[in-house]
Amino acid sequence: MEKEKLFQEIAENVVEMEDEIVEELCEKSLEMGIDPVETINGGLIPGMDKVGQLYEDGEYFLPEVLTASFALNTGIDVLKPHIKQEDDGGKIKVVIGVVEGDTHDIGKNLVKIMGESGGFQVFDLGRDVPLEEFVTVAKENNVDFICLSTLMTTTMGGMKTVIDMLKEQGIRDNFKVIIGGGPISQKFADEIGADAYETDASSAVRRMKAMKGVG
Amino acid sequence: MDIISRYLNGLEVPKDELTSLERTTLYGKGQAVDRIPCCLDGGETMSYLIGAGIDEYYFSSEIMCNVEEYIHEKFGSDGAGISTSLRGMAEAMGSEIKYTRNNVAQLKKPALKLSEVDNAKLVDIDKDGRLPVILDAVRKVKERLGDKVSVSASVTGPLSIAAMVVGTENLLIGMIKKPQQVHQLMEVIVENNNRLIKRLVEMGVGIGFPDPVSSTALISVEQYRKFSLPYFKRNVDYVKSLGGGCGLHICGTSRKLWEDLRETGIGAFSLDNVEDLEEAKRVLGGKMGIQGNVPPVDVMKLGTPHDVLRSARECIRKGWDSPNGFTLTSGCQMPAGTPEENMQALMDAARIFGRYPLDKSLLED
Repeated sequence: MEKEKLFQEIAENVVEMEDEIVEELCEKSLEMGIDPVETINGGLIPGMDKVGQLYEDGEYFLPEVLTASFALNTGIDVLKPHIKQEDDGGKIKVVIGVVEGDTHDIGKNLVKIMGESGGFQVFDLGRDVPLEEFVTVAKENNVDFICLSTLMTTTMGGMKTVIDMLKEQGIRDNFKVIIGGGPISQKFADEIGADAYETDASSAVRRMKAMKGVG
Repeated sequence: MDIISRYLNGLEVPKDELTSLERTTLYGKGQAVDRIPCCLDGGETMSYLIGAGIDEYYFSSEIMCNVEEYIHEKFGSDGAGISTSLRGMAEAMGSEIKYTRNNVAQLKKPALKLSEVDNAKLVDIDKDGRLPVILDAVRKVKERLGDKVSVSASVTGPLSIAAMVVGTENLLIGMIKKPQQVHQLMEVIVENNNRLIKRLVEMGVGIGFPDPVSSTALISVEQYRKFSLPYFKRNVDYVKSLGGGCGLHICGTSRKLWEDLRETGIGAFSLDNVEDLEEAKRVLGGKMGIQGNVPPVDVMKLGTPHDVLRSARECIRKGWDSPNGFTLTSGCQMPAGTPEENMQALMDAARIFGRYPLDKSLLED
């Protein structure tokens, strides 16, 4: 099978949410000696981009996006061990997580997936993340963006706490803080002094690229 | 000076002439009342009003009841209610829940995987999880406030329970990868809900179904029709077969479900502030009461009392003439830390703008 055709099939099967077929095709790409990075960029990511498009168009909903991203991750798991370590210099670096008290991480995962497809280096802290951890990891890795997510009104205050911690340590200007999630609004973002608020994963990734002057 | 600027600045707010129970009973029959009904949508997030932690609230029927008493006595809210909470039934079915002082509880560990659905548990409402505490709180509220205000309890929508039994992501992926197992789980949940419903109707309280996972922000209309609506309908049918009444609240977007909801037989729909009351009146108003929808965060928590009045006035302007009645309330549960003066302002908005006979000139900007 030709490389281009293989990539096309991988992309189609991500869109069709066929994780087992994606797994097989990715294994096949390795057998064919194709650079795994090329398979990710030429097959898996275009598939997920298409999923993102279908989601924005209202054709796909979260069940489809989650199942497709499961298929995407299955493929990445096959390819990852074969990727040569490269210099990460110049990549946009992001720390992301769901603030303490909330375990709803669907939105956060979408931003992570879309961000990684966009070439970001993402430090994913998971969900129910202690607030100081955002600051610690951001400092350690000298990230560009701190992305905070919550789906619950009751945990929104944690976002402000993170920003306050940055201010107290005199490092507020070292990072851009992006917030999102169901109850969040532009008004809330302005009030707590976040740098940006976005309503969905694709816009968040576009916004971060724009803020860094890329893409 | 306009009427909103005069609020808290010399404006006399008309006093209530009926008790809440009289008002909602007469209003429900389409008879004359003193003002439009208004409910403060609280529950666990209001525990701070009486100095209790949210975690303490969940385990004390006394605290639950005290919160409802406080809200009714202080503000005159036209409904008192106890919530099973979004996780209450899932916990009874075996999910582990994490409780903390300042936050709403959250799912720590799902009860089961979809592949283990054969083990999905039928609950004993008098023994499992916090259900006994919740039922005791309903009994206390009914005893202490039942002659003054209409009392309700929430029974979580079946699909939202499923999300807390297996984990939301697992449920959503399961709709695509394991639809049969999802259906099997929904069967068990319908039965568990019916057990709770039977007891609540026997206690003489109304039932509210919160069902955030059915929002079209998460699932498609087709998925709703396949995995949520048929099961919800069976719970509603059961409530009605016992002679009870019920309403539904879907957080987030729901507009595309409304045509389907018209046929469910629910008595009321409470809409999120992302949806439009005027539209709800047009589509749903002929079949049921509508409730809403002042923004809980931007207005109730972060706004001023004057912001609350402005937003509530707009709601009343859109909703007051809905054929089966309108209740002023927030678009979703108010968050912890909502200022009491804003709750007072919401109630006062009903007293100022919703006073009968309605002065329509007051409703315009």
